[in-house]
Amino acid sequence: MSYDEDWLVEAARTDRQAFGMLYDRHFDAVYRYIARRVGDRATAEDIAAAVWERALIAIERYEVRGVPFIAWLYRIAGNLVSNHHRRQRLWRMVPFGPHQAAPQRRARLDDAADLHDALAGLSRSDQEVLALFYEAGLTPPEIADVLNCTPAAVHKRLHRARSRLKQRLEGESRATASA
Amino acid sequence: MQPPRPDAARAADPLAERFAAGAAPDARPEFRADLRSALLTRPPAAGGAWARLGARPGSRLAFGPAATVGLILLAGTALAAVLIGGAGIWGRDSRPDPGGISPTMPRSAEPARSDRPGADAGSGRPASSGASAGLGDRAPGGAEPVAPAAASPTLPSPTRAPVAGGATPPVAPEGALPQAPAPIPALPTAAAPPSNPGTGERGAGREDPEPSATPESPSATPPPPADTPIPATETPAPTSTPLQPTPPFATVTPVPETPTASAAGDRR
Repeated sequence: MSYDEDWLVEAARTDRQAFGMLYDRHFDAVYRYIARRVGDRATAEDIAAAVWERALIAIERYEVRGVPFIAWLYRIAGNLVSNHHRRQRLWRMVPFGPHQAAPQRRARLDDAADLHDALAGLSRSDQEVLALFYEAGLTPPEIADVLNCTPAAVHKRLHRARSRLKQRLEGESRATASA
Repeated sequence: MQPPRPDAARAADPLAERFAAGAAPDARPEFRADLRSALLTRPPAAGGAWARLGARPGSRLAFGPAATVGLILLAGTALAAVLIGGAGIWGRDSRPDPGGISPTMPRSAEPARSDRPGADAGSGRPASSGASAGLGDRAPGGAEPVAPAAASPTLPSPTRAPVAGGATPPVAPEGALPQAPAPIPALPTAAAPPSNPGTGERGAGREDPEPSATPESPSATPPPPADTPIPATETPAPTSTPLQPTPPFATVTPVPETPTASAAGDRR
């Protein structure tokens, strides 16, 4: 966390313009992380708006602990994405719910369809740690702060998630080649 | 937009390349601009203290967590008060009778118990020595009037009035006593043999060989002092025979003069 960002965060507690500068700096990274995890543009926009609204409300309680400010944003986003997935699981129990038409309405977010499909087959935990590492570019200690665990645990989770993603990608490539 | 920070390990990772190639697209510019303007023009959290306590601004629920907790505590206190009050009212009726007289007993039965023939003529007081307070309902003789008097101050005092000599038994509803339940055979004999001469059913009191048991009762304590000083004063010469003073004492018999008729009742 740079001195410039420390100053911005301190100023953003009372100054909306400083908060706007933080928004400009981190919005895209947070949005991509959310979009990678939910796979739906509309849902990603809703969650992104909720993340920034919460950040605006809670920035007064934010503590500078040497962790990048964006890690705090990722933590908020991760919680909201988890809540979204929890609600989705509940909706799946409802017959003829809104999730039935979701695959048809879903808009693909990226061109790398195989990567998206491979990620979709992983668990939420694997998706989370991979998105934080590859998409957000956080280091394992920063991810540990976001996920509230130790860096060693992050290394372990990252290693497992990476191996599973490779297996899926190789399996999809073989299926594509055979087809 | 902040690109992912370069990392040597990440750069060598083939997955990183795939992630970079298949990165999620950025948000729509109009969405980004709208959200930014909405955040910067968003009014500060309104609501004052309630908002600080957790009520969300714009929430339909006007109460915060503190107010909610307060309401729950208030409702719990009211419920507890109602329950405790109800238990007190109900418990008063269902409380076991400590002295043999239950508050629910009709008042009409109490005088009948005290006015039974066994209580008259002063003989009841000595007989009360063995009467158990817990079984006051069927205490033989005039024993139980002591317990009812202590248990219920509203009881009529005629239970003690007939002590004067026993000649004036209060007008007793005769029908009440025979209807009383039969005494448990073991208790009157074990606790105190009733000395009631009035009731034939409890005539065992007359056969009581030990009137000394009567001093145990609080009502019978006066007679022994009355007896003992008399031989000491009236018979100045106990030197002759220790048995001599008793006949004159028996002949003198200040019994009618003594206010406590229990002695007379014992002798009777």
